[in-house]
Amino acid sequence: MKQHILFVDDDVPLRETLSLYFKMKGISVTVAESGAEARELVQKNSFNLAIVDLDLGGEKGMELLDFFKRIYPSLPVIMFTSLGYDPALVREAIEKGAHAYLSKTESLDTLLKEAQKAMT
Amino acid sequence: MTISSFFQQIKSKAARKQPAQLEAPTLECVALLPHGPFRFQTQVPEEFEYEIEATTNLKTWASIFSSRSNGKIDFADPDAPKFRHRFYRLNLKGEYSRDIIGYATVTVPPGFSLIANPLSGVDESVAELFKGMPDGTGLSKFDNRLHRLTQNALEAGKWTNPTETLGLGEGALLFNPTSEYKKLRFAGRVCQSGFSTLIPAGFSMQSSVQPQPGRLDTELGFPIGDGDVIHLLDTDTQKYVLYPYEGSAWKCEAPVLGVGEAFWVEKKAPSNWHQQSSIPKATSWIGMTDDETKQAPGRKNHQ
Repeated sequence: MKQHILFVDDDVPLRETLSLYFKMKGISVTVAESGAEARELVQKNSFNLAIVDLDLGGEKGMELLDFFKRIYPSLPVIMFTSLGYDPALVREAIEKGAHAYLSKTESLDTLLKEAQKAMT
Repeated sequence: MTISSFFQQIKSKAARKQPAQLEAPTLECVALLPHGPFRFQTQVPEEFEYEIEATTNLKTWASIFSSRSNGKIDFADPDAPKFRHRFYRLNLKGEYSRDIIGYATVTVPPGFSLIANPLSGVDESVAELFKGMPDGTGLSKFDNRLHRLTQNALEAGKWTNPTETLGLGEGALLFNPTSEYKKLRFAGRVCQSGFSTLIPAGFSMQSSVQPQPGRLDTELGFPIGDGDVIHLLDTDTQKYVLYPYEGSAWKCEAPVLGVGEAFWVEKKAPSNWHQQSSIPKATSWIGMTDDETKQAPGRKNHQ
């Protein structure tokens, strides 16, 4: 069965490019632009991984991480950010159960590898 | 002969004989030959003297060939492989061909590239534009309505959407599935008329209609505004580089676009991108058809 990722990000270029890359590697991707859309999708679908942007156009990605870990504790979540590696945020994300904390400045290949690692 | 004396001659002759309206020549059959040379054909009345001029920057032109017409001109530039892009026009003693044609070579490294077709061609289908790319190549355009990238892939030598085109001003994400650098070669006409593109609010993928590199705002005239962000793809590292514009200035450096390169823009408010060519389009000129006047009128300022 194909692995399925929920990608929650309002940064269209990176989200769409990375989604395309995942699809080329045989991974299904469903995208959401907001936390509300992500909450709806996760109730209707089964995902192997959620990738969540820390800064969802004003909404806090960390709150979405809380929601996922409370309702779907076995779902791996990778926090994704363009804000750089803030040690306090990294610590908070890991404490809340995030599988990894990645910067958008990583190459597409690195992001793919981290996603694959989280799904095994 | 001076321009004024030439036109006096035309006028005096016109009293005796009806002048013929000669259309400025159109350059046709534009093609890049497989081994590199660029070729085109055109028609010029017999015995007219002509020159073929070439440029890389659309500002400085150099004569690369001159001759007397025998009616049909079939020209191939053997030096074409030496230039990444080169453009051509016909000069008939100061009168120019209706169009400027040429080619542009775009190198695509392994992985993704944001690409654009910088020239107007007869066939802008993916099958024609990406001839020679291997199976596994992908082309994705951004659907502004769905906010998603479309998918078109080359499988067993055929595109899944073979009628898809990549026209002037559009952009696309191209995926090169190999571990080698590939060369895309575009051939066609240079846009010589004004071109206006509506840049919507939110995200869209765009490209310049001028086949020239340059700084996006000051040289290519892109309407940047506070809060806008340009996203360029660094093809070597396969990472997006962001160029935010805030407080009427670029936060870091200004984005510079290459020929055949597309970009993403996140606009706060919709705007029109007017691209005005500095090269006017030739229409027609008055000439006489007898031997005495087998030369075009005097030079007009087309630069």
